Amino acid sequence: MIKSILNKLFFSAMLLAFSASSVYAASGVKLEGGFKVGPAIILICILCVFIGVGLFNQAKDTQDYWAAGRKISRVGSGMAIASNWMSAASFLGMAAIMYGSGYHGLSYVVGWTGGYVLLLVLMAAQIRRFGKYTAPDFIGDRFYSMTLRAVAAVVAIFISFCYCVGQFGGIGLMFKWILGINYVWAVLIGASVVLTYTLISGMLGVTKNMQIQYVIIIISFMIPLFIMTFKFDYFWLLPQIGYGKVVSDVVAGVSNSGFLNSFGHNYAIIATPEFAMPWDAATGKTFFQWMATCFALMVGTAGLPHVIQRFYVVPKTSDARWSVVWGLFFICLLYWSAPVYSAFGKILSSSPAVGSLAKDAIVVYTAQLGSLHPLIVGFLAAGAISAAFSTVSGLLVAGASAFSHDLYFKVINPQASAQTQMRMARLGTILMAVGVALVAMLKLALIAQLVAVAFSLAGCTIFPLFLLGIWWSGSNRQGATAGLWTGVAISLFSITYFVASKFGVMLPGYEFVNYWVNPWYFAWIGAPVAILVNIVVSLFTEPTPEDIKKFLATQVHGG
Amino acid sequence: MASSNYNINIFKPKTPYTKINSIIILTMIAIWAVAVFGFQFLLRFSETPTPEKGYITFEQSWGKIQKGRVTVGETRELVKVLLSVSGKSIKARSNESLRKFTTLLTYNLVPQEARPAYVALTKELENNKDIDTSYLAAMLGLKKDDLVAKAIPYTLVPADKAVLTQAELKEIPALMKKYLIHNQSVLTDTKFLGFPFHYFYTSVFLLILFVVLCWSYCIIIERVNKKYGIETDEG
Repeated sequence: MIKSILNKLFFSAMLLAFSASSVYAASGVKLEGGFKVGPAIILICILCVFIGVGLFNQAKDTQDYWAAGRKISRVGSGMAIASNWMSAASFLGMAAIMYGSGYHGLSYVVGWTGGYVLLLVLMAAQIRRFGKYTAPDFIGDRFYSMTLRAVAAVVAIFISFCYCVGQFGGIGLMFKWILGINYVWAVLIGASVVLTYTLISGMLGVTKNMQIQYVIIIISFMIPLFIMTFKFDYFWLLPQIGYGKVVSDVVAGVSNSGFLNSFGHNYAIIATPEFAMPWDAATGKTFFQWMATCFALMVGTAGLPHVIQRFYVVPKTSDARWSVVWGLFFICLLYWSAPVYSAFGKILSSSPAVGSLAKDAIVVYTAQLGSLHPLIVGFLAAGAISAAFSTVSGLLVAGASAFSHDLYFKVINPQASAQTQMRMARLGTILMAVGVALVAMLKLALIAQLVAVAFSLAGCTIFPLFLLGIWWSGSNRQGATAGLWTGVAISLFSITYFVASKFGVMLPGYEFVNYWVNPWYFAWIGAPVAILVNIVVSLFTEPTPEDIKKFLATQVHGG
Repeated sequence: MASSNYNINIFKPKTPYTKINSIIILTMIAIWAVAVFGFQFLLRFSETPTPEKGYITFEQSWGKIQKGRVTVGETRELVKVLLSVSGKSIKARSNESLRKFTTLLTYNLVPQEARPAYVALTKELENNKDIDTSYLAAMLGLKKDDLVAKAIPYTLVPADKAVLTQAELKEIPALMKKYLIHNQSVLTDTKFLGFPFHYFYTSVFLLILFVVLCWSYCIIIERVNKKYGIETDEG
């Protein structure tokens, strides 16, 4: 029944989208401004499908809301991981960083995929065997401390919050592009829509949505690549390899190729080796920054509460492992493709007449400059919104569950009924969405950079607790508390410097702090220091209780 | 610390199962770390700052300019280098020193009688970038649709106001160094499937390696689990 309704809904959506092509009048060669009918219809149709799917898979109780009843298959869970992961930062932000900073941008590509190796070999199966629902649950139980659970819950909410800010920025940019309205209104409209359907659907609906979203995201991202590589005479059967020649063309320069961009400028570029050469001075990025960013993103990946949380929703331990493999593969499909946009974008926008473009929208601009059909560009923009939506909904659920389950139920009011918990989860979701929308309006940095803050935060706080909590039974409550506060202190230090500078206040030693403990990568130092503090304090304080050691050895490690 | 039969330490595994588990995990992490960070170190240690042709032209002319001994031909080549830097980067193009320097050098190339017209043209360019500058391109030996020629309207500033201070002049060599010298090595200059090799390695190969590592880990650990009877209760 539900399936047939969904099928009808999806079919109608597609029909509407394609009938839009007759409505769509050629908009000339304007990259921004004006209401775009075709893309708007595609977006509305996609959102209708999401809400429809959410409605038919509504959460019945708190168990459903948090963990989707553990009914999801390996591939399905892999898709959900990928969709949850592939945010506006992956879809829009990575190409933006590569477009602006060349090889430095690849530290994001590698950092955001390499972290999954750590996650898999060190944590996935062990977390599933530990058998909790949320990251603060694990921390509270493993370190036998209610205070730690509460602090971890607040940290988890803050991580989700920072992560969401970048996503709302991406949603705002795309709504602005499609609707032709100003950025603030675009953020408000986008935030309202994503909040509505997260509230309606809960995690079960969200997980179903995520699988659909993954398909939309990946198809919308790939189609323009095939067309562009074909159109500009590169190896188009596998654009992820074919664009190698595009990169080499940017490095060596191209003149008189015979092709034109949508403005009628030659498909040509002056030799720009800084696009591909490592840590080039012209990009303003150094070797240290490449390494620090990559490392911080990797440890952050293995410490993000909303990612870790996904391992609780698979039926078996081996499913937790295989869902990472599938998830990583699905993620890589997009990550192999993102650099293609930056390389084409570099050539297509090289004419000085094109002027300065908003980097975070370079994916969409590249498709426009490549003279792709407006509906394909519209589908791409809708894909970007889907990417942001799928991540935001997962983050809102993670944030809300930390608020309702870990903070309210476990710490403040253990007598709360299931209904009250559900109400608190919804309240948490609303509060978070409103707060995020307000911060997103400030446009503090590029999307990928804003998201990187969340990764460093997770890498300094949650990652050391999981790593030592699982792999060293000697890590005790005192050590974990000292390590967590160290991570929090380093994070606050870096973020305070950054926020102050955004409001025109340069704190003492700003240049030094901004380079060595930058908000995009402070986990390079924060994570090792937090781990060290945890170990040292644990060694000099009361040992971990025997029952916890026994649980770890027998249940988690199966030894 | 009191000794316990249940102590867990990834570096000191006790049972045969945890021993093999630790070896697998540490091997995976070692491969991962060397592949990602080891390669970047290799790239770092093998690189040499390599100038573009334009930088060599610039270096040859720069000393002569300061001594006032530069020839017309050398000035022309230098202007082309400055325009190419301006043409490839919006950031460079927004640098006032570069723009003023290019405007003044071009002024010196223009014949005496045409200079008032050149000054008027540069003033007009402030408001209209579509004005025909092809005679300047021709003077520099560039074709009209040459990319470097296209940078002319976006680089020149009103010539009557283009006064370059000593501090601004000193910025020029640093700017040229920044945009025309790149970290290159055999790893960046070798081509693989059309890519510069290092770019292919980082953007394509590493991701393949991550998937393969994860896939292999799952296969290996499941065999080990089966051998030691772990997770059998999960079906």
